[in-house]
Amino acid sequence: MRFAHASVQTIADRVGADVLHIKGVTVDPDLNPGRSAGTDADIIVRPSDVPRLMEGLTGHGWTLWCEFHEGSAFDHAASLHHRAFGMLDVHQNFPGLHRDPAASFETLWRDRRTVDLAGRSCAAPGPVGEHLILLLHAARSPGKTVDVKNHWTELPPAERDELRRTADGLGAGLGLDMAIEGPALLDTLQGPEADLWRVMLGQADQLTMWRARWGLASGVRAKARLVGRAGRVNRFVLGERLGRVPTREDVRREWWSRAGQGVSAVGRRTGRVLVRAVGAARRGVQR
Amino acid sequence: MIRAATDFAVESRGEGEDRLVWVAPMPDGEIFVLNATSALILEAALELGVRDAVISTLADDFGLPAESVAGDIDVVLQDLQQRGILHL
Repeated sequence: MRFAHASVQTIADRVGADVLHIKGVTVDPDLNPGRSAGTDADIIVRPSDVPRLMEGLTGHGWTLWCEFHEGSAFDHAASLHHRAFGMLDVHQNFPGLHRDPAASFETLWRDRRTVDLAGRSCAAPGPVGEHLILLLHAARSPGKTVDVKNHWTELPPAERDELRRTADGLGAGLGLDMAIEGPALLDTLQGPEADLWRVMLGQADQLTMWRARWGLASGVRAKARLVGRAGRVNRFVLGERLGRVPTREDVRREWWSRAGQGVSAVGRRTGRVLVRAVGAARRGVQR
Repeated sequence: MIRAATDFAVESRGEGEDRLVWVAPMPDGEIFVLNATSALILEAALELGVRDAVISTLADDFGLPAESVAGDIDVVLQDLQQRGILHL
C-alpha cells in the first residue's frame, strides 16, 4: 500500500494535482492503537484537479474499476486497481464533507502535514483533519468503535471543541454526531441530509436516495446532472452481483428492474400517505 | 558510471541479514524484493557509482578478498540493470 501512495504522489506531482493521503498507512500508529492498515489506499483530491489526476493515473497502469457516480449516493469516490500496487480509492469528496467539497479540501489542505511513504513526501490531513476523516468514516461503519475511541472519546475537551467547530463549519456536524452517537440518531431526524445518511447505512430505498440527492443538489446544473445520472445502471455493482462483466442485455434488464423498484417505492409511499389520510378522515368522523 | 535507471520508491524492513528491501519504479511498478546482500549492493552502487569501488567497499565491509565477491556483485548489478533499476 505504501507503494500505491508513492505511485499516486509521483503522478500527482507530474500532473500538478493536490492530493491528501488518508487512512491506512498514512495515519500515525501511535495515535491509532487498534486500527488496522486496511487493504487499499485512499486519497482525497482537490476537486478541480480530479480530471487531470484521473487521466494521469489511467496513463500509468491504474485501471478504473468503479467511476465516481457508480460508487455511492455521495458520488464520493472512484476505485482503481493496479496490478503491482493493488486497490486505490480516489475521493473527490468525503461522505459528511459533501456540502462544499472544494472548501472542505481547502480546510484540510491548510492544516496538512507530511508523511514519508516509500521515500515520497506525501501530504496528509493534520490532527483535526485526521480526527474528522476517521470519525466520518466511522459514522458509515456502525459498531467499529476504535476510531471513535481514538479520535473523540480520548481527546482532551479543547481538541473536541476545535474538532466540533471545524465539523460544523464544513457542514459535517451530522456526520460527527452520527459517529459519536450511532445510527439511532437518525430515528429522530428528517430532511435530505439525514436521508442521505440513511442511504449510506442501507436504511433507505432508491426513491429516498434520489429525493435526498435532489434536496442536496444546489443549482440547476447540479440538478440537471442528477437527472442525467438517475437512469444509469451501476455496471460495477451489477458485475459484482453477476460475477462477470455485464452484457448490454444485463444492463438493459437491470435498468427496467430499477425503474420497477422506483415505481414500487413510489407505490409504497403513496400507499402510506393514503392510509394516513384515510385514518385521519375516519378519526375525524368518529369525533 | 552506475546510476539509477529510473525514479524508484524504496521500502525497507528488518535489520542485518534479515533485512528486506522492496524497490518499485515509479509510478508504474513492478515491485522487486531484494535480500539484505542485494540491497547493500544496490545502495553501494547508487552511493559510489563505480563498479570497482562497490566491490572493494563491500569486500572491506565483509572482510573478504575483492576477487571472491566480485562475481556475485556483478550478477546482482546485471540483474538490477535487466529489471530497469540501474544503468551500468
